[in-house]
Amino acid sequence: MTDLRSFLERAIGPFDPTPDRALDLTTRRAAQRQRRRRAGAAVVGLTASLLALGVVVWAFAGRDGTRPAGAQRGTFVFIGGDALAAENRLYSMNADGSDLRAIPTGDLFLMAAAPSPDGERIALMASEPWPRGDMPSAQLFLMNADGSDLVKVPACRDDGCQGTILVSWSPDSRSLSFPGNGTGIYVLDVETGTSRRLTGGSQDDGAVFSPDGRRIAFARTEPSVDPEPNAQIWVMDADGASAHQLTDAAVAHEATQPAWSPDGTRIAYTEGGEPGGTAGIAMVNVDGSAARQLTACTFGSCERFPTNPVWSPDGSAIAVLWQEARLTGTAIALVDPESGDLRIVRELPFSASSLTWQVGTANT
Amino acid sequence: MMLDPAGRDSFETFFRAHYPSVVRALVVVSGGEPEAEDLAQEAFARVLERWERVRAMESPVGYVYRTAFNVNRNRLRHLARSLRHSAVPAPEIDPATEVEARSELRRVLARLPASQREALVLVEWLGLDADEAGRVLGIEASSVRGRIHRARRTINEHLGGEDD
Repeated sequence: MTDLRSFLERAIGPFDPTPDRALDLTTRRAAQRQRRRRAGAAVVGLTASLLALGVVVWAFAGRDGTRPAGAQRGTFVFIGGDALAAENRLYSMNADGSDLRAIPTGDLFLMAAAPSPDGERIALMASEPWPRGDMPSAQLFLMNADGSDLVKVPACRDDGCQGTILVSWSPDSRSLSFPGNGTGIYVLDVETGTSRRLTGGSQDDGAVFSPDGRRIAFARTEPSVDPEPNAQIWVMDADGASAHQLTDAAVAHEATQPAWSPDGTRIAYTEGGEPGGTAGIAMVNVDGSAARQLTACTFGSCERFPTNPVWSPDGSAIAVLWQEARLTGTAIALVDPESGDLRIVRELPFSASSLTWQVGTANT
Repeated sequence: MMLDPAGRDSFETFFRAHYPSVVRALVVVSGGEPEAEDLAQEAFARVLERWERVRAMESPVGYVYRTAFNVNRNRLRHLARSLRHSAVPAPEIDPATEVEARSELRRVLARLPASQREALVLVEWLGLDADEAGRVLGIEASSVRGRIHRARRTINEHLGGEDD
């Protein structure tokens, strides 16, 4: 009787492939497959995108090891990707850190994302693929929450909206604040497609509606007042009237990314800090009182730093992007709004931005 | 393919441990070294894309083989279509014989249907039992045993050995 193992050995002979160069070729081939899939997605649309992104979802499906338990409800939506490359994706994740999944966005390069409060749609500031040597052009897009029916909204100039690229919804899901041409805050009526400028002349960004929709908080930098960039948190009525500074420039330095508490009484923000000072997440009452820093690390030496505060729907926690200084990774973490204690919900193997926390049903 | 450093390290370790053996085994399936290397790299590339999921499987290397077999079947179908649409008459046996047979043993192997060569690789090379091989191939264990039996008989006929 023929020994089949021996037969196979003899048939194959002394052939002894080495893995060194093959590993490089295999890695390149996987990258090529990924690029081909992206190109295909542009051609055949969202169906192909779903298939391609499914790979990513699978890739993370089993990553439970770094996920502490959490009692929070709702869903995080954020942009994740290599900070040094023009490749990123939109993700959703349950607030307890489970069920990280990608939301298809075609071949767009994402700059900012915001799910509507009613959970129906997602607004994107993003760029379509741009010619080599050119710059991306930030445009406004809307799509359904599952990534379907992606449409470009003609709200920006052909060369794109300018300034800090952020977008946020009014509580009734009918209006969007977006950066416009960079010298003010613009609001778009989603149904009519008309937009209007609420502020101008200053460097304003990060506009967010209050929970009752009557006011807007934003970050304003006034070079005429302070030659060094030193953004402060401002609040105005939703029609642009009665704008006034909330934070004290003697205390707050580079205060940006305001976030309203659900009861509308407090605003958390990112304190960029200054040399000799501290950076972190800070909070102030809407009447300007009780300003305090919740987390702090020494300016310039933070190994990790929190950005992008967003409140939990019940106001019991503030979620932040806990960034690694080299932008190689991010954790989504929760900050206690009373004690400032920070605990990690989940580590992510990429840099993340544009964090939001939705009340709606968690991923299933 | 967004793996963290630990994921990349574990894939590289897996690759280095199994690549040589997988390529050698795929010579049996594909008929030649270049085809085997190409198949193996394509299979490992597909595994890399979903490594976090594959590494958690009971037999990641079994998944590599299954992927390679699927790629090879597509390759054979493509070859067959090409031959049908060309002026060159299709060969009567597996297109893998297009690759110059390097030895009499390879010529014997080339006479086996791809399905039997796949079963040989899994059972005789990888050491899987019939149940495990059946799960990789998506067939019953009895079918695996049948393929091995027929492969052995063909090989013995051509090499003058004894049937079992």
